[in-house]
Amino acid sequence: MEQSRSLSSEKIAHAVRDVLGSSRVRDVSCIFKPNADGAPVIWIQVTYDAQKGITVDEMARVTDAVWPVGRSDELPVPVIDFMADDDLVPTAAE
Amino acid sequence: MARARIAETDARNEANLRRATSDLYYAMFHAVCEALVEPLGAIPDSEAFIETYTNLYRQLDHGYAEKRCRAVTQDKHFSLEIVRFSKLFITLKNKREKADYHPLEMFKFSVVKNDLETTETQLRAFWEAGSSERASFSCFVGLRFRRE
Repeated sequence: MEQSRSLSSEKIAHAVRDVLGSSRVRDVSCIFKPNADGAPVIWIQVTYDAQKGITVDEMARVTDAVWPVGRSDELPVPVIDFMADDDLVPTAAE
Repeated sequence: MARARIAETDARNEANLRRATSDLYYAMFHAVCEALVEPLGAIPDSEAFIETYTNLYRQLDHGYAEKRCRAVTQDKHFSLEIVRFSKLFITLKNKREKADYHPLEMFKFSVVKNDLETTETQLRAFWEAGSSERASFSCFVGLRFRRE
């Protein structure tokens, strides 16, 4: 299971860089953790170069790449956060 | 509403980012509710019609809709716009649960801003899709069918 998870993380990172280009992607991290209903989820964080930005179409194409149509229902659902690399300062609580 | 929350302060406010995330999910949820009643084609103007309209609008169940959206993401018969809408529905449902029930999770401005722009784009595409596909999708994710 751990081996298949690590292969999935690599494939995800590869798919992200395929769409956005390696120079724009700072980091791709994946955490496998079920949601509140117990359903398997991969929580993916894509950190990109804030200077170059990201478009809605690019985010959609990344999602399509890691979540293709016809994928097995038993595989974890990918939930992706697209974060700019200058957004690392924690936000203050209200 | 979500856009207003982000613009309100300098956006470096965790509570606003959490509420904006929740708002985005509910924008998607209510879009499906509205698509369920859209085929009725009229503004309810009688007690009976109001009751029917309200009951139909309220059919959508969060957990069931997510499950059905997962099926849509695997169905090659729906258009790209509807498949992307389904994926976003599932994504935002999970993010909303984090926002509302996990106080130790941190929320970032750029992530929420990107989610906002994606949601606005997907909602526009949803309402620009064919009305029959929208009806077919909303019934598929919103209604439980009686077994024969």
